[in-house]
Amino acid sequence: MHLNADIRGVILKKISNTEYVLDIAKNSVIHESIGLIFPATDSCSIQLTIKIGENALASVIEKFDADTDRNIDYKLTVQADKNSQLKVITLQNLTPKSTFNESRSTDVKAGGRVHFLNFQLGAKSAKGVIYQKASGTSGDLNVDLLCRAKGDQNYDFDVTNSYDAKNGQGKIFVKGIALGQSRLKMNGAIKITRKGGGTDTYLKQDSLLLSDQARVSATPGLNINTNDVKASHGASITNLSDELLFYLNSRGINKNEARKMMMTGFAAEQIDKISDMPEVKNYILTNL
Amino acid sequence: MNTINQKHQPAKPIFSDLSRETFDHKNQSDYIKKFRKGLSKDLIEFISKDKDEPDWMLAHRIRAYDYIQTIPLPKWGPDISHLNFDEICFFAKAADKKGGYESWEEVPQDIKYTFERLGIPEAERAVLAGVGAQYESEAIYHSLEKELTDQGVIFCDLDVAVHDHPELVKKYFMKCVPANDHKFAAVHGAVWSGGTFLYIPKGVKVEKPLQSYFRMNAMNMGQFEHTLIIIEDDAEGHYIEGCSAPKYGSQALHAGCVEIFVGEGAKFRYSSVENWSRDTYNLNTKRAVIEKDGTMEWVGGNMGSGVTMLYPCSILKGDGSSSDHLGIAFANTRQIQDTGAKVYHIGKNTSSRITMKSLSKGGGQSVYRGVLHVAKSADNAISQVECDALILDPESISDTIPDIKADNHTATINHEARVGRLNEEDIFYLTSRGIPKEQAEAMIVNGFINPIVRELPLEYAVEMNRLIELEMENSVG
Repeated sequence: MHLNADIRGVILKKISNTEYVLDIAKNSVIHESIGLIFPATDSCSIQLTIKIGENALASVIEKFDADTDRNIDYKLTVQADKNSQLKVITLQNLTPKSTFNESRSTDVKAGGRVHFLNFQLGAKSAKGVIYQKASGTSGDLNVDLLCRAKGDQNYDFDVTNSYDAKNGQGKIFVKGIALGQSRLKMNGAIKITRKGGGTDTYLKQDSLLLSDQARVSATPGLNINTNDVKASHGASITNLSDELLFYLNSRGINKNEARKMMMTGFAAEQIDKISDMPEVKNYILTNL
Repeated sequence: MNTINQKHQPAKPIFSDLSRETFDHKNQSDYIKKFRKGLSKDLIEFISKDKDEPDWMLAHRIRAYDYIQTIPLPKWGPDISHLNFDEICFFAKAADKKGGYESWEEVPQDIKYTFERLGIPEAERAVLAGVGAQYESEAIYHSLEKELTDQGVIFCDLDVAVHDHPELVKKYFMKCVPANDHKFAAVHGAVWSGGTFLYIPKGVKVEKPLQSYFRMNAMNMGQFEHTLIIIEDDAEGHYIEGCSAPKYGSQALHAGCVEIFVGEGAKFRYSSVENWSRDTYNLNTKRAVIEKDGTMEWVGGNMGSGVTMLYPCSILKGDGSSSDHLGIAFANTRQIQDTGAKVYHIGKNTSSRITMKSLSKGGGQSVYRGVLHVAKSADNAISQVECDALILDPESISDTIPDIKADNHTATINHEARVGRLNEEDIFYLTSRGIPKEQAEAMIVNGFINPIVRELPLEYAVEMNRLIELEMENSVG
């Protein structure tokens, strides 16, 4: 694995053939995105630790796409120091026979912020566990996960934000679009321990079911162990209704176009969050 | 038939004098010495023989007993591993009258006294069309307005129904909740005793509610009453259950079962206020099957028990059927209220709504656990789930665990849950107007649960509010 460019304040250390550490130095403010290039082998198992120092700010882009079938096993650990801000953008668009397994865990110190923007578009089977923990006060944990499953794709994702210190914040937005005979399973959870007083957080899981053969399940959980908190969650499962289809048809928009419009509109909230990266945004819109 | 069924308006709310002592009061229970603790095949044969049951019911009990040996305890939810079947008395009766007493005057004095303290006969006079009362394992009293009897309504002890209406009981008994459903359904199937049988024939609309009150009195008691309700096509009814037991500091088990069959176009409401003592494991199973255009409404309040695991379930089988679940759970010190709702959408154009409110206080844990499944056949299903939780102090816990699954692309599902605490500004506003803090908190809590309580008949809403006030006592410390 290597970086797309040399960036000052950023060092990728190779620990072994499968283990790497990405160091982002204290106080560095990196405006350009750090691109991770993964090895082009059929099977790849990578463990990466991102250490972002105090007051540092950075964005990392992970892109998993290839013309050949791949089996990827990826484990990411993030250590976010005080008042650091890290954005990790993931684009997974592997071939329909590939498999993708990811596990992400973060530990956020006081005033730190980690934001995962995770777009899952490809692979036959994609599984992921995202577990974020705020161990310092005012930790800000955010996850935006967008899954678009079609054909016989099978997606299974589990997202948890855990607050173990005062005044935590952040949101989880999980959106799933199911087409074809796909299966989409999405679990979300917010945990607030007894030490997590003053936390204000939200979990939202929305699914768009666009095929009579597709299946969706969602489990949005709350585990709250103290009272001085605001925690809520919402989940919805919707479809392209006959009324809406009729309305669009009557205006000359056919079913396929209507479906595309519905999907783009549904995903807009998350895609808009990367509007400062037009190339990434276009990539998602083209492949949605 | 019914000697206490004289209508008059009570001067003050029936349950206004309820206190914790009312529920914790216990009668002498010398009769319990005659009955052994623990679960065995001999006991099951004894129960069946004592009730003079037909062979098919004994065979059913034996089958259920075999399931107990093979089905493990649930691996999810609260820890119930301390529940020791050898310490539970699975069957006991305080009176020997088969099928209960026909007149309230005939009920033995000590049993009558218990129910009078709980306000049951007075409630019957004021608001109910019929009343049942169960003490330990057997029903002691059942009554029904003559007008309803004439219309073919049957409201009796299920033990009586097994003899008097065998064809109906055999057709429906444990068809909705089979004995191999889970461990406690198997226990229930083996040792069930007493309970209620309600049958409302086609087109009959029973406007006033019917009620049963279940009371466990002796120490280490187990109560396994079975409620079987059959509402035929286009019929309507409302049934209320109340439950309580005194506190001993030693475990008791309640594993009742409620089965409701709602016919085509029929409408039924089931309300319950459970207030078992803190020693009780309340592991109850409640399920309804709703046919075409039928409506089922569940209204429930869970205040008591040490551990509650209760998830009323609606199976929306017929096209156009609907269900509405309303529930309140209050988890106080050393209580786990693991409650929720299950809805299975199977027919086309079905709709469901779940509204749950929970309160946690003094280290108590309230859990909303729900299942919402839309089957492939359930075109155009609509469901709305709303859960609100109030945590009243930093030591208490609230969990929300909903499971939502859609196998049909025409489904529309919405789920929302919120967890928070009492608003300091609201408390400040009330205390600045001279209302003591404790009372202010109780007022806000009553407001929080009001959308559900107001669905209960007035007298029961008063009882529910009174119970909440009892739970809120000493909340400022």
